[in-house]
Amino acid sequence: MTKSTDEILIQLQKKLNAFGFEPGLTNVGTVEQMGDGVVTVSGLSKVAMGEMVEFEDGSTGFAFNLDEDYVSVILLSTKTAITSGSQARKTGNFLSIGAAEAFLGRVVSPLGEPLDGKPGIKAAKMMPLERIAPGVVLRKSVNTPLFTGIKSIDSMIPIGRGQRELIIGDRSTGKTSIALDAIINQKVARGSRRKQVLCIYVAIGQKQGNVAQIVDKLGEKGALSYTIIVAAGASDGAALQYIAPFAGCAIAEYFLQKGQDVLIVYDDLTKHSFAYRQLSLVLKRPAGREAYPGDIFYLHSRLLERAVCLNEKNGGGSITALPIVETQAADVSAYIPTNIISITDGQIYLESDLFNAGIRPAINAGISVSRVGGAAQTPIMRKIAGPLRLDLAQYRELAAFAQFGSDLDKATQTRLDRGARITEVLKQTNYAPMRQAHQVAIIWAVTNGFLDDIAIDDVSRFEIEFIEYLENVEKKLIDKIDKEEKLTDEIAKDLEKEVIKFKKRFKI
Amino acid sequence: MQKKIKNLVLLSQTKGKLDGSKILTIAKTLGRKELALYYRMLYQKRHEEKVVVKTAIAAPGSLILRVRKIFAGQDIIFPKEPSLIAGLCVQFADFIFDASFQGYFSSIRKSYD
Ligand SMILES: Nc1ncnc2c1ncn2[C@@H]1O[C@H](COP(=O)(O)OP(=O)(O)OP(=O)(O)O)[C@@H](O)[C@H]1O
Ligand SMILES: [Mg+2]
Repeated sequence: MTKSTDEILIQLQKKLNAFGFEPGLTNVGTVEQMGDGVVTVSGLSKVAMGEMVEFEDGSTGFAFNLDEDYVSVILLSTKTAITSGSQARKTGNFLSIGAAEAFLGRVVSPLGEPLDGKPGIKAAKMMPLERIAPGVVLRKSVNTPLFTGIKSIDSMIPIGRGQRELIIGDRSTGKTSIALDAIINQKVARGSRRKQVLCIYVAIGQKQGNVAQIVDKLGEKGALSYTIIVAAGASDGAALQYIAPFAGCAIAEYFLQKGQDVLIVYDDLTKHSFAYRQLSLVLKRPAGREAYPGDIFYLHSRLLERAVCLNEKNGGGSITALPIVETQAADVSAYIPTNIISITDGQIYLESDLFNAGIRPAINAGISVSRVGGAAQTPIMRKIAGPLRLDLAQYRELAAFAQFGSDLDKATQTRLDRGARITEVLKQTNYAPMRQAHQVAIIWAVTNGFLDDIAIDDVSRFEIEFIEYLENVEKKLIDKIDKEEKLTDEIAKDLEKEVIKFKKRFKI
Repeated sequence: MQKKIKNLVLLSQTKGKLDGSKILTIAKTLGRKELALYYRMLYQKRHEEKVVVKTAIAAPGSLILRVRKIFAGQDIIFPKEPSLIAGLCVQFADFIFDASFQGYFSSIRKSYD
């Protein structure tokens, strides 16, 4: 009995020792002014840019402007009211977010607090929000594909692991849908020979309802188990929205350090720019074009530079970034779109005209590019996608001429028919990403003219039934395409044989 | 305006300390708005000049002597602050040196949050 009490006492003593209180110097300041989420503090002469500051009432913020006499602190969390004359103290910590495997499947705020009503998450490591992007020597060129499961993207605008591909378009043109499809499609990759891609979806300035819908959708498709959602809603204030993408990136870097592949979606950077502009205007920073502060380019370039493909010596992990930008009336020459287009390695351009005409995903293949290109494609996809681009380009040109209704020669008519069928095949509903081998089979069939005699209205039925047929009857071929990833003569011959066989069945 | 008033505050000093007669002369030349800013800056400056040594019980003579030696030439006040429980807390310019039980306890509380 006495012994156990002694033990408890010893334990208590150990615990007390562990507190390690060192009386030390603290740099403090006095609150002078407060408004619009910004606190002006005098004193705090030793505070650093971006450092966390703590107020007497427990509120926290970070130093955003260091003036000669004042420090402007952006509030992140407010406890009770901060009063003028109260004390603010330097903490020595910089903005950071906890990260751990336990974050997978969760919805968190940019400060790492759970937003899904489940218990708090224990962080394995604190990751700084601001970090210098990995340098040249640590990187290697992008060469591993990241399949989105969307036919037109995987074939014509391939995305590689470590790439930054912008998704740009007017409102409600299916931008978010493309990003979500890419996330959902990472599930298929499980058990394949490539590493599992973990996903992070950063929602910036969106309505709570929207985010809830996205979480539901991901859950329904079984994608939540490898996805983290970082959300700073429209009602969360500019400061949280401003740090949200950096928080998402910091979590991604935690997994990167473990050598894993991560896909991060920033939805969207237009709202992020709004938040940053608001903060800058409140802080009276000089406004430039479209009232954005001068360093907005740097803001996004330092964020997107953190997308990386590390070489094997450094773990071989990667961060692929899919930033989303919303345009007004398809104007890509506005300030933010041009900025981000120039930072990224390509863009997927969505058009409302196409969307309304029923061509969904509404990708304008003519001006969408991926500057990484074929290096991020499997050889078989590269081979069959070559004629695809060409056929489509010719189709678009001819279609413009054909409008005049003049008599067309036979070759032109064939081209037009082919183009119309390719366009039809490239249509795809959202939340239905497609396996590589399936994509290969149908694209091969259409570019080789096997669909030319199928009525346009029957093309989508043909596609569905053809894939079904291959899955049920010729599973071996699908597996072979998946395994070889090259267009061997044998595969080409098999494909031809199966298409012809299936067409006989289809017509009946 | 801020720059100008800041310079005036510098001009109000003799040997690095605020000088009452200089302040009076300068104050006479200022308008209402400038005067308000001038006052605020003076107040701040005065605050920075002062060293505050808070102790839980009335400061013992030996402590007063030691502190006077460290902050030679500066105004020092020694208020009693029972809420510290024990120990002392020194404020000068925009720094705080906290060696009190209160500080110790609040650091324990924080480590449990
Ligand atoms: N490929 C598709 N096929 C059919 N419907 C689609 C497709 N892609 C998107 N949609 C539908 O279009 C609507 C808008 O899509 P989405 O929310 O992805 O667009 P957005 O550009 O992100 O919009 P916002 O500007 O509001 O963010 C949704 O109702 C979605 O279901
Ligand atoms: Mg959207």
